[in-house]
Amino acid sequence: MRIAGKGLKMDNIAALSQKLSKASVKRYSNPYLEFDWPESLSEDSWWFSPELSSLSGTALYDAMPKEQKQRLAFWELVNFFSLNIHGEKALLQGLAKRLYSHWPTEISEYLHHFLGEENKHMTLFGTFCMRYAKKVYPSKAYALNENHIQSVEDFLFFARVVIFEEFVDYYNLYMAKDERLHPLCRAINQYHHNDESRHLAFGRKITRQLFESHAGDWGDDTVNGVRRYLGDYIQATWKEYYNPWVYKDAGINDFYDTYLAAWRHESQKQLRQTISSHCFSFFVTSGILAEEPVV
Amino acid sequence: MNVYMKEQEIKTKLSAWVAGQSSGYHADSVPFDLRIIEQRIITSVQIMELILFLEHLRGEPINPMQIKPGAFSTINSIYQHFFIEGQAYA
Ligand SMILES: [Fe+2]
Ligand SMILES: [Fe+2]
Repeated sequence: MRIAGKGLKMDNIAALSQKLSKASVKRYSNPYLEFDWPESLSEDSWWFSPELSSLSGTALYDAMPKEQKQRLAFWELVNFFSLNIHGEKALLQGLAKRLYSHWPTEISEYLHHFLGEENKHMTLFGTFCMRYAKKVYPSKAYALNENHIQSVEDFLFFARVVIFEEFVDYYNLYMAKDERLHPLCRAINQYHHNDESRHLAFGRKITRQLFESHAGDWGDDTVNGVRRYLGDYIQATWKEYYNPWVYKDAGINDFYDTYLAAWRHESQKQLRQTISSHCFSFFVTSGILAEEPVV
Repeated sequence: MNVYMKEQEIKTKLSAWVAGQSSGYHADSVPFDLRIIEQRIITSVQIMELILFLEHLRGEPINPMQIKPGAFSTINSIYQHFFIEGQAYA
């Protein structure tokens, strides 16, 4: 397979890859030994920070008794872990495809860590979901076939990684620190965040570099197409956080209408904008997006 | 609402839904045989939304990994895939 990379300032990325590989070796972990999985979960615990709930700020949420909010929180965590699994499945495929391309060896070395770490994340998320929820929610993402030239495909792959991981990391960091949450929930979020900070450093660097190296050759139509694509991807990524079947599992009757109302609710728009702001400022300051999208 | 809804009724709802989602289509409904993907009447993000709407009409979840290529081509094909052969997707 041919991989774009001509004209890339790959030395820069090779140096960062080496540094990140060292850090990955130093923090190499064995989640199979690190985590204790209780036989069953206590009913009266918090599993998702209430402020991050996809229903927070709605009248429906405010009127819920605490028990129902906690039940909803459990299913929102299962949904959060599920969307992580789906994102990471796509990530593993894309990373594996780019091993031992004509990029410098240091990059392949780091991609091995990246792949290994993502695989461990998936086992954690998958273990939690299958053990306690007996399921992983399916993703609603449905990709239409689109053909891009290699440099565009490489760029879009890493841009998607950054978007996906930026949003997830906000939740991870918030929940790892949230003392109301069950220790198992905090520990998984903390574990994920520890690896994600390296992935994000790598992702941002290579995304920016690919754009700077190639955008000049793409032409206006392609650049506009890429921007439209990223806008759509951002919307689609956010949609995964709102799942009617979560609301059904939490005992809400009009779960589809609840989904429609939650997505359009003003406080949810603000929440999405707040969580996205770090990610969006990266894309705007690096010139990839012309302006911050409204989500 | 459920899978026993009459064919015309389901197709009419789907047609109105697709027309309502599309920014470039100025009518209350789309013809049942209009190539809605090819003609870019709806985008891939809207397909996510469409999957949720179909789940709502069917009353059960859909696993996108099991959707056959071409399922979303037209209102007719959507009906065929999700309401006639629908059991396969449960
Ligand atoms: Fe991960
Ligand atoms: Fe990651």
